[in-house]
Amino acid sequence: MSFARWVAIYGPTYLTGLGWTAVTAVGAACGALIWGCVLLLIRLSTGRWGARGVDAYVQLFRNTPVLLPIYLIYFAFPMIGLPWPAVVCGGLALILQNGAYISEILRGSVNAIDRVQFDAARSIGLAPWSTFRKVVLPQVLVYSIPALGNQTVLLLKDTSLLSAISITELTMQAKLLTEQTGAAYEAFIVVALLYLLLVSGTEVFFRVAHRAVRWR
Amino acid sequence: MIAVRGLQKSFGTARVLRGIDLDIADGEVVALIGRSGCGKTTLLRCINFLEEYDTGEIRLDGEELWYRTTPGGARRRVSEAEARRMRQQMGIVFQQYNLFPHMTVLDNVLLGPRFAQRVSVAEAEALGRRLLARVGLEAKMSGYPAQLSGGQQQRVAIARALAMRPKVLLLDEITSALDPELVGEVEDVIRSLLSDRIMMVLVTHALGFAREVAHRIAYLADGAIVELGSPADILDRPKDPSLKEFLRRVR
Repeated sequence: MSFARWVAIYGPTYLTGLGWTAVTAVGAACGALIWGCVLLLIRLSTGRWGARGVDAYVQLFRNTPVLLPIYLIYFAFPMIGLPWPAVVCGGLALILQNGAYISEILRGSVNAIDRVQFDAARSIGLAPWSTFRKVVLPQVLVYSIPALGNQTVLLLKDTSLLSAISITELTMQAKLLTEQTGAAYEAFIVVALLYLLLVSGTEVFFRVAHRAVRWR
Repeated sequence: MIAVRGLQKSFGTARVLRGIDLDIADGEVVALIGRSGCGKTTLLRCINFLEEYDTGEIRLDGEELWYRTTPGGARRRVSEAEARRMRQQMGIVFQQYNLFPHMTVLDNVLLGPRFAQRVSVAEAEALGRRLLARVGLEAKMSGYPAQLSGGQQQRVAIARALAMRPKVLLLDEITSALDPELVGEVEDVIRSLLSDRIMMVLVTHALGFAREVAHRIAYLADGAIVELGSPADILDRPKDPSLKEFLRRVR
């Protein structure tokens, strides 16, 4: 069977996988960004012990493979009475791990803010929460755009691990097709091209976002 | 009025302020001059509590600022919320402008009124426009700080400080970082404020400007006010030898 003919027959089948990959990647990326911001806020606002807590958390997730929390949440949570759907378990694991990385990215960008701005914020009587929301966070997010783009690409590719807990995202889809048809080359080449497309799209998105910032 | 009494501050073993006494009357402009490292900027930053100080007291219209003495005699900082309320009675302008780069000029000016004083959007905007018009920058309202010259940025910083409707304006070497041709426009704004009779404390190296706008000049050396008097007294008839030496070097 020619490649073109194979794509014509089985191409539409990939839409399910593409959908799951996109949904889990976008959902987990948004969740991880919010979680990363929360971790940053905890680090900045709770003194030394809060910062140590966040450090320990980051170490824990940075030094373990992401498949571990995926399995842990998927297989262990039902035992404590939380039988969540696979996509929720997988998404949560991705959020927990990428949130740790993102909080570190954001922390690096805090240092790029000129210290004197904190004097200025204090001098106009801005409370810590307002300072974080209006002064720190907007600048930190903008300075972090390129690094956040990289992290999102990594996250996007890590969604392939969700195949391990029965989510029919792209990689799983290709595996199923291979099992059905025996056409391993075709099945996985199409998936590779689709990943390439998704990743390129993500990169373009972040580059455009970075360029759209007017004040830099 | 502001009353500073016995203000002392050390950074580690270095004594930066060794007992400062200074009164500033309503509507008065006082200039602080002295060699770099003499403590004049630190004094300014202590007045609005950007720096803590070790002993002494500062009063604004009779209210003791920043510290409270408990019945047991212990000295304690006021709460953060209280400090914020007190700080809103003062505006400070920094040497390096310190504008928020990610906000438009108008938003820089609005930030304090909107989020520290909880003024309504409409009211804050009207105030912001009025103040920017006053410093001659209404046309740059929706621009960003990076698109402005140093002089323009500093004028925005003055508008931002005025937006809190402060009783006193603290000016920390506000023209030192500017190119010479931009100094005039910033000084003009300060001149225009004299008719408002707002209290001002300005740390400066520009002696000519200090002579022109200040009612009194304080000369600081080694963390103490060595000589205090009218501009003519300080600049034309200095008594202290170190002040004479300082003036000789500056001129």
